[in-house]
Amino acid sequence: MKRFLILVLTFSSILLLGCYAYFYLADGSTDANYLKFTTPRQTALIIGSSRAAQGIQPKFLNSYLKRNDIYNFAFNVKESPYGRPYLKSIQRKLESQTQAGIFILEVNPWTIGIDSVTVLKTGGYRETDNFLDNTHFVALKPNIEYLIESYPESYINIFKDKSKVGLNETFFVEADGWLNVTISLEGKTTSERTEKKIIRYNKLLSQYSSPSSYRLESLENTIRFLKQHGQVYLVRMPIINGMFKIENELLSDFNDVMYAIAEETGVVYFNMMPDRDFYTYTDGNHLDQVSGRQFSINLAELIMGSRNPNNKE
Amino acid sequence: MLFNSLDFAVFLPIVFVLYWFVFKTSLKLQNLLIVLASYVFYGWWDWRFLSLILFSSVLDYVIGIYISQTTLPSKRKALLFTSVFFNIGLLGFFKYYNFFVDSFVSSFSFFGWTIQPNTLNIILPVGISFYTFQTLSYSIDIYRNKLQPTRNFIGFAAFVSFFPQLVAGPIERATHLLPQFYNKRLFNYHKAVDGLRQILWGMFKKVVIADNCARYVNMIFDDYTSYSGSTLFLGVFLFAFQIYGDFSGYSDIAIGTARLFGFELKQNFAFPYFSRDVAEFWRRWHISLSTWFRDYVYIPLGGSQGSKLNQIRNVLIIFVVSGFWHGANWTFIVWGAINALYFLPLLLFERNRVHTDVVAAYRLLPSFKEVFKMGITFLLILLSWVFFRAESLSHALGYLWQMATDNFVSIPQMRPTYLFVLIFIFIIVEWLGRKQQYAIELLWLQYPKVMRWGFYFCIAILIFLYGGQEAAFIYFQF
Repeated sequence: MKRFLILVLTFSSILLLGCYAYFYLADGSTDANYLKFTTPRQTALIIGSSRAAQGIQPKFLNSYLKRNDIYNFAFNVKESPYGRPYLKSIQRKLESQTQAGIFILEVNPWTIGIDSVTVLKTGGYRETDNFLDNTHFVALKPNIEYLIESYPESYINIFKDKSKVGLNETFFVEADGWLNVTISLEGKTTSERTEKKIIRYNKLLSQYSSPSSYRLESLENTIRFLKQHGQVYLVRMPIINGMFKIENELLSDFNDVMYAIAEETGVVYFNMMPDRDFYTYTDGNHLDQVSGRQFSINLAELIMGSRNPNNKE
Repeated sequence: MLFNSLDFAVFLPIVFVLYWFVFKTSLKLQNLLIVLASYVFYGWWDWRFLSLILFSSVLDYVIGIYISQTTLPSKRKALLFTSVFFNIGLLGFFKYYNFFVDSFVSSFSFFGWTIQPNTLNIILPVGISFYTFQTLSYSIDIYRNKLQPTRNFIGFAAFVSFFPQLVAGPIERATHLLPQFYNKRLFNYHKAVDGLRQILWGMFKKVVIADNCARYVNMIFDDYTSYSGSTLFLGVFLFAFQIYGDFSGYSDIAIGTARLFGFELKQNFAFPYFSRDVAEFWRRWHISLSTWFRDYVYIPLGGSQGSKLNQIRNVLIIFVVSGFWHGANWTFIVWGAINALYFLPLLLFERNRVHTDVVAAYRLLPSFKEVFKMGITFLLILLSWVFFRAESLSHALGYLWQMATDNFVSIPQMRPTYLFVLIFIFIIVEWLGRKQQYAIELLWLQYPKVMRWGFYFCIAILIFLYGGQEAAFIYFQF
């Protein structure tokens, strides 16, 4: 028995050490979320969907707002709508002692809507049991919990994806959490992507309903929680006209709903949708890198210009 | 609990340590631990269905005793009938109720009559097809005076619920497994190491081969109208490796795990894709089920005795029933029937026992003739797998039609090179180990420890790198 135990322990120890070492290869190319669970707890966060993940670049906000701590903790509309899992994850990611933080909450009708088909089919929300729900350690490197519980691919892809960074249609999550997407902006491919996106979102219209009382309550809870730690800003990001039309069909009085929430919770709401024609997009839904930079600068200027006495200093 | 899960990776060492260190002095306690561990293992999935296992165990335990106590044939028959009624009844209710209701409604609507179906939202309890067959064989064997009933309920409950093979076999006979619960088990280093080796190989089959094939198989089968004939052929080719890797992988892990606890389970797969005809394939594929049907259905029906018509009838029955055992869907019935059609000519021309040995037993490579025979058999089996994998008969027929008519001779739209390499390595290793119980049983044993360990590490690394999210075993649904 002793011999057997020594054999098993030796074999499994070597193997586990090897696996642990391999996990150090995981980085911003691993997937669009992993790196955000490996950085330390943060004091200033960008929250929201992939529009924010891709379109708000912390380094420009930091530079204009004379800070160095703004971190992009936005994911995508399917996984990170306002709800219990996202709020839990934000609570975990936020440094608990934070007092003078800044929190940018990107909002749009999809992030406060529910996917009725999923609710009917599973009895849960679309983000139930996802990586936000399952990742309890949000500042662990390598984050073994995330890689074991939530990484959807074979681990060989951690290695393979590293070599693809910079190629067309790839991404890399930067150290500040910004999702840096490399994509061709050639007219034809962009219009093709936009067309596909519009078709997809038109289909989603039939299965989504917005606003959902659960989501609105979660958004308010998120705001109230973050307000205890600093300033909170709600932001509606621009998209192309075709997508805007779909959003209006989903929830035409979205701005009214947001202004009401902002007033109730005592925060500022920036509706940047009217500026939509000034920006360029990779697929009609996401700002490209150059526009993202400009948008981040414009947002920083708006924040600097805002003087909301209700926001905690 | 899945074998390929972290839960099991924690569960197994705990049970192992308790079994060999804490309870090793008492056989009764070891058996009790097995029962408890098995119930935890099963309850991890859904504890409510533990009552079914307990019911089945109590029922056959009591019936077994009563059958042996009476000599009156009618009473013995009635007792056996009770066991069959309840076991098959449970299986029928949980697995086939909705199928029968739907089929009934469809057949009436064919004649223009509309019936409001009263289907139920029934969850199929994992492993019910396996453990009911195991308990049934116990009662039948007692009825046939092949086995004495046990008075050791803990031992019997352990036999019924033994966690390594509870949910997906191999379906063990009481005559083989039950006595092992009566005898003291002694730890044997070589057996335990052998068990670990078999677990490793089973994991490789499941995680590396089956799960990676599944990714492409699902894409192709779910959207088959979008793919060329050659891609659809690739889809069913990969499915052949998926189902084999998945199921035989499970069996390997089950047998290896049992060996860690001092138990011997029977071989369930004997390299079936190296078969030279369909009869040989069925002697090598899911052996525990085939032999169960042979002993409890086919032979009582008359087997290969009697008139040709009877022989044909018996073969058709056994294959169709075997197909139906796999699932409540017409696709499985057709799958069984196709295999019966493959098998019948061999039986009728008395060619069904031509290949009873291992192919190229004393040679490294097969002859051209053997390659040809194995190739034809494999192609025939592939064709039947379409029905096994398809969601419905129309899906299967549509798939086959599209495969035959849409650019069959072309380059497939999907070309997962890494998977072809893995499958190639897999086939080579399986070929080299085809005379053993499992492929790597004796492979490399003659080489120095460093080389052997290197080989095992390579397998373990491939499992780690090519494994992904935990995927349930296909045979859980049966």
